[in-house]
Amino acid sequence: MDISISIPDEVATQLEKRAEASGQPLPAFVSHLVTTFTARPTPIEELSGEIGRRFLQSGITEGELADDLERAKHELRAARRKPTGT
Amino acid sequence: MSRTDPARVVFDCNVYSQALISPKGPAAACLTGAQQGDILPFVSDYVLQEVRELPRKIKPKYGVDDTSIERLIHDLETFAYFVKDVPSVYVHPIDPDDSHYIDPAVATKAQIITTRDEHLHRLMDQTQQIGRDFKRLFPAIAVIGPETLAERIRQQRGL
Repeated sequence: MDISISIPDEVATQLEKRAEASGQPLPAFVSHLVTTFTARPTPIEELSGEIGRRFLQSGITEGELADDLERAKHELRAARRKPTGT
Repeated sequence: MSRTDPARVVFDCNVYSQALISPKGPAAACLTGAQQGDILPFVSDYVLQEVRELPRKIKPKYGVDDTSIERLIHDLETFAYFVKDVPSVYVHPIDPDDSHYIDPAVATKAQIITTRDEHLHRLMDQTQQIGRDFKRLFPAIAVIGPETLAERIRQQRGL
């Protein structure tokens, strides 16, 4: 289907920049955006795949997992705050 | 939260990781709810960055890698709302990095921040000054855990 729409100049400029950065012609880039936007999400179990299957068999509780993830997040932030260089 | 007016939610980066690792757990139920339009999830650049960087620190036994995270982020594009240039409106007195979850919630008029982060949950504690100050500034924002949100979604669906 071909459609024609009006968009503000500044939006058009942004779209052109992003299309160029992606290496696609503008119509193909916009078509990709619209296709992605209307795509159906993938069920979480499918996204999780082997990771989830392994977790379900591990005996690790949801609480242990949550604690591990919170620790990981705060380690990540601490590492980010560490000064780099000498 | 009614069927016609889905709640606007900002998820902690850990909600995404937890859903990926535990697909039958409460975080996965929250994400599934978002996929099905029960809630509207908003994602800022900062949150996305934490989602992307987290695998570096997650224990290897969980098997989360960059590929699985990128697949999740790609899927987010089909149902989440990405927000750019989020203005700073709040600095968390205990953990300033947590401010980056308040700011997008304010910018998008989200009513819920879903997290297990104790510093964010402390903002709900009306017995402490930090909680009273937060309530005065942002009375419409609630910080709740994934279990609570999953239960709300379940009730909303009449299950």
